[in-house]
Amino acid sequence: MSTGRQSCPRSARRGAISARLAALLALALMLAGTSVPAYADEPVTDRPDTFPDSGSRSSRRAETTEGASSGWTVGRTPDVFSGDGLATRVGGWADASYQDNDVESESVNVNHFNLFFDTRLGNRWQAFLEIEFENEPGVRGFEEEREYEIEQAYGRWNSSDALGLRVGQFNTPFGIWTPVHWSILMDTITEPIHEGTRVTPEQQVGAEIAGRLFLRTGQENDTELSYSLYTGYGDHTEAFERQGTDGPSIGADLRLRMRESDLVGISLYQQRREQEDARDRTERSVMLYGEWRPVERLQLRTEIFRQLRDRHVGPGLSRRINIGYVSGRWDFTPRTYLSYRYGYGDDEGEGSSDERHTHTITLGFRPTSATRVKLEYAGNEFRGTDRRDFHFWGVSVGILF
Amino acid sequence: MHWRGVCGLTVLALLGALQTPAASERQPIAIVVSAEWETPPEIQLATLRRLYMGRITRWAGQPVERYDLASGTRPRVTFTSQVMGLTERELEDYWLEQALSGGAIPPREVDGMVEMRRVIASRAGRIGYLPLAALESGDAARLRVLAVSVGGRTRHPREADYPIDMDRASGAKGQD
Repeated sequence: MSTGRQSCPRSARRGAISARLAALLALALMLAGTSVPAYADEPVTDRPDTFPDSGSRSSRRAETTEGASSGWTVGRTPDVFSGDGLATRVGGWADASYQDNDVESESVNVNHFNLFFDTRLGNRWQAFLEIEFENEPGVRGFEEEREYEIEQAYGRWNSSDALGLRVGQFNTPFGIWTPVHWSILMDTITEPIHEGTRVTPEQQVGAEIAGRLFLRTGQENDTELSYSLYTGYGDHTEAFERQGTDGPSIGADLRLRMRESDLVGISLYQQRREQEDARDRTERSVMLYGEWRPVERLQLRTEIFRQLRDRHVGPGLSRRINIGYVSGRWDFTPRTYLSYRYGYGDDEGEGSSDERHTHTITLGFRPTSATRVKLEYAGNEFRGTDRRDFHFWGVSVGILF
Repeated sequence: MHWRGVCGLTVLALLGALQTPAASERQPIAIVVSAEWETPPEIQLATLRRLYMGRITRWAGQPVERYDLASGTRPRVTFTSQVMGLTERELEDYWLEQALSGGAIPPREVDGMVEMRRVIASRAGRIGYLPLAALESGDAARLRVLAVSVGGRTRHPREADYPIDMDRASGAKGQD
């Protein structure tokens, strides 16, 4: 399985951006030091049975409510959206890590620095801009990425809760990991194979209609069906080290949520990869996914991916890709967890099959609600390829501001 | 003397263990809206959950402004657990994901019961919650307490099987 790792020499390019990295880290630390109340660390345990009736200590949100009905409000908390007028929320996150494996040299870097600007006018209109510095090393066993980019830039109009229209560049609604910033939101330092190999594009440039419907089961309308239908052009995809992803795309995501913690979904995606050489092809992908919390402290999650190409396009590009993982997370305390994930990838060639198996164990904790710390080990095994098995370990710290 | 003391303490401990625990008092959480707001007299627990998760933004014919008590307070932990079916940390993760993706906006926080009563009473379209015991006699003219419907059964906070109650285990999952 050609899972796209480069030899990762210490290139001149890395040296050129080191000063910028240092500046970004300094800025991130400065911003973290003044974390906004929305992410501020607050006690989670029960307080005494007395309820604070501190009339003298008026609510920060209530204050905003009364005074934010006109003009353009800018701030770093959701409070800015309390009025009906134009408002922009500014926020972001950053993470840094030490990562190493037993076949190449270690990496100590700021991996991400993201800033977002969420502008809304009332309940219906929204403009969202996110810019990102990304510096993901290759020691995880996937292709390294170093770039500044506009991560998302879209406008949205909500007709109702059941129907909204989004136009611009947005994260691809495909499964669980792809649409989110997994580096700060998910449990592990390394991503699942389907995300690391970018078998589907990270973003779409196009249009989407999306919404939620509520299904009546029994006497309660207690089941939620959310949907997304979109079309556009895939971007920045280097699936299995193959360049060229430009071309029309179309996709759909359906997600059925039974409880807040339990869901199943299916994502469908078709990408025309318009290329001038023999690799011109159409790819059709499907992802089945689900989350289940059988007991309060245990969360189980799985994503099963399959991609079919319309024709065989050379010895290095197979007809089918099968990737999947199952993971479980046990919460020891509200701020400490242990996670295990088994991942599998199979790039089925003509008469051969390149396989990758990963076992990922992560210990995570949150010293504050604005901080994420992860320690991780991952064993990677390859079959049917000349890639060496390797062991990965790393420590990651993420902050929100 | 030493053994007498040990035996005495053991007997006392056994007696203590055999004591029937005192019946705990119910501490229901009341869902409140402005008395001026013409809403149905009850709200489904599933609807309440969706409002507070930002999945729906309208109810009873108009946009809804949601209000939360401060994070970590016992009424808030109870509400999060029994209405949303989540822990405080899970809810924190949810709002973080929403913020980073331009999604739903969290409810506004108020610091205490006085502030909650004042804010909710001041405008139609606002919804909040507080312990039933924290309501005062003067609130009747300004606030209205909604009954909560679960599985086709509607219960008022004063009824025994009302679904949002601090006396129940805080880790209990929401039931809808």
